[in-house]
Amino acid sequence: MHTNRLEAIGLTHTYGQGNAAAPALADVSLTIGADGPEAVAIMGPSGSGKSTLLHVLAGIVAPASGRVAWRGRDLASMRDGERTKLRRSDFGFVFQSGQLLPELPAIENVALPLMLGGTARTGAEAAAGTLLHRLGLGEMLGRRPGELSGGQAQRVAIARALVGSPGIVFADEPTGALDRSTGDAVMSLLIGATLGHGASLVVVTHDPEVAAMCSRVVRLQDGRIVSDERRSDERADAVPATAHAAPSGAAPVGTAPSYALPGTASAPMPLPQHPSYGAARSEAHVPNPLRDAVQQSWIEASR
Amino acid sequence: MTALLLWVRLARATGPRATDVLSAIAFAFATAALLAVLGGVNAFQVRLDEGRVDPFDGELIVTLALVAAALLLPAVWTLAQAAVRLALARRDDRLAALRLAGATRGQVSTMAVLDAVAQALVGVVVGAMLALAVTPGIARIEFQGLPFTVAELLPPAWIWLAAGAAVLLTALGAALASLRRVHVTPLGVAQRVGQQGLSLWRIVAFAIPLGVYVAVVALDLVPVDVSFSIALIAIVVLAYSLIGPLLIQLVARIVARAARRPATLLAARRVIDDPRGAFNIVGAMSVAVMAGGFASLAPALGAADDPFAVDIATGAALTIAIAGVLGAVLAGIAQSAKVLDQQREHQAMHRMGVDMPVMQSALVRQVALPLIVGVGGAAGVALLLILPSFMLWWSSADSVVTWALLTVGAVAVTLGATAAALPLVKRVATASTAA
Repeated sequence: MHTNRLEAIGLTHTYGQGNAAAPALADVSLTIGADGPEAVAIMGPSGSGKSTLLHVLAGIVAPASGRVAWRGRDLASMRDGERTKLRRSDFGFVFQSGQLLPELPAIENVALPLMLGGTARTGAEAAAGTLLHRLGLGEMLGRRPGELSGGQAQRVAIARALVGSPGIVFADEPTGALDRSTGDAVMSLLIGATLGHGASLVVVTHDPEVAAMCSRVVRLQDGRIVSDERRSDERADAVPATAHAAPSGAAPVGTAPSYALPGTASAPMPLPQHPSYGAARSEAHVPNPLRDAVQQSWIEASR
Repeated sequence: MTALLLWVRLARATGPRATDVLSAIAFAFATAALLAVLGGVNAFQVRLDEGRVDPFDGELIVTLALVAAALLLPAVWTLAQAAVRLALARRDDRLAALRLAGATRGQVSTMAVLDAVAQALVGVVVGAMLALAVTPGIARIEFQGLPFTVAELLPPAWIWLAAGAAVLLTALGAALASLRRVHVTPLGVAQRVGQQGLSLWRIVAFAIPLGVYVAVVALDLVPVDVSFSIALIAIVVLAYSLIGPLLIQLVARIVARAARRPATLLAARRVIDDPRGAFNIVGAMSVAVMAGGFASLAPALGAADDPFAVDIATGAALTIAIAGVLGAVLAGIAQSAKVLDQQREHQAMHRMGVDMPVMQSALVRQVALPLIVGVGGAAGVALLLILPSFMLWWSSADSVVTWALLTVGAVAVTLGATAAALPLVKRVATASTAA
């Protein structure tokens, strides 16, 4: 069993009370990352409970009933402070907009989670700088979110989500405020970088093209899961090649083992050299120039 | 349907919110402070008119009371601005929805202004009652060798009405200024203004009166009379308002560069982002502390029992106390408004795992930094300028100790008042946005 496993069993949640109560989740069960990192799209019409499910899975909202377990540990058994620490250390978040702190330059926005975790500022900023350079934002380190384009701001948000080397990244409509080509490029980068870091991705989206880029699509309606489809390996294997040929295209990306191009090693993307990165993922430092080239093409496309 | 009718219907449908109450409280304190200060000026004027005091000293005291009132007016204005921000807080969505439904920009603006003015009206009424309630307490203070009477401290009705109208007009002006900054489109597009750059002319504008003061008063190079010296001191004190934001931004930059803790980094960056706003909270207190520093010299310069010198020291102490109360209310209200303004940021921080104490600590440091720099800088400038008379000043221990204690007390009360906004951080950060 993979260590970065998120398991939800029998989740229910309701907004409001009495006659005004509106069910948001009804007996939802799913497991993410059981067999390794995967990109999961959660789709459904407005009000179907997508965002609620994301918030419950991430420990932001407590379910009315049911259980969420991360690496085998029930989130409900943790104190509020522990859950907060868990969100900082094990989870990453990318939202539609407004997630970056407007007063902080890009590098400090990315370094903040590490500083909150106790890393010294110099070390945190070194790791943040490395990651931002890797995501093609080397010239933007000192820029504040208001001075960045929408695509650049989302790449900073992706860097911030990944800097703590999370086991899972939650994204809520991450391309909702972007135009199509920028959105596709950001989505490619988000999937590629997240899986490359050995983490799973859970993305809430209305957009079928965004969902088509993921290896698994969970559909919700009226708070219930109505379908849970995994894409075939064949389709997934074709992804990076498609992405390379058309960087802004909506190509499906497979799970981590199929992340690399056919015929290359399936090692995850190298991580920034920083002490806070877990030894458990030390295999991530295996270099892969071809995959980096693909990654670079995505970065170029999102500029 | 006119904007007024629509506003009345919506107000009935939604009822008052916590921010409306806070906004009305801010207007109430602004009104009460204004009326209390005007009451003092009225009392001095009545005594002068009735010939109960020496005409020269009486006129000078009235002038000084007006100067003290002028020192406090920026705090009243800032308080009204903070109140308006609270009145308009989180109305963007509603206003945007109205624009989508076909309301014109003028109708939407009218409704927003009506929100602010309605709360100001409630605040004016409550503030007038508050001023009446504290008048017997103020009457215990002795000036010009005589205790005040309640009758002296109650100005004519037209002054009350004018003060109320001034607060309402301030609310109107602040609301219109806020709406000019926030252009409400049908899509409710929020725009973030860029970082404020502060011009270096502020240094020159402070250095010139400072240089004249040093040459004329401290070094006595040019013989001048007392009223010119007092006017010069008043100009130096008011000019501090120009250099204050620059000083705060400079120190905040140094703090941000050296910050090791996330809360300090966040607070320093927020202060750098809006140094004028940061100074506005502490500005009145800073200039009051600076003026108080000069005034504390008065008893040492006069004879031991010179009532005029004692009056100046008492007046300065009173000004610091009022500025302290206004500063404390302002800090609590302004920080509450900021927390509401930054709702999305607080929610984002909560989701990404920022501990609540870190967010709350950042909020307190956001006030503490400008408070210490602004008030500390003002006290430092005052000490520097009275350095030539330092030994003399030090010999008047009572007024020095009173000044120091009031300054420390005002700073402590302001920091305490900031704590009022802390529970709001948790409420705002943990508010669910999922659907």
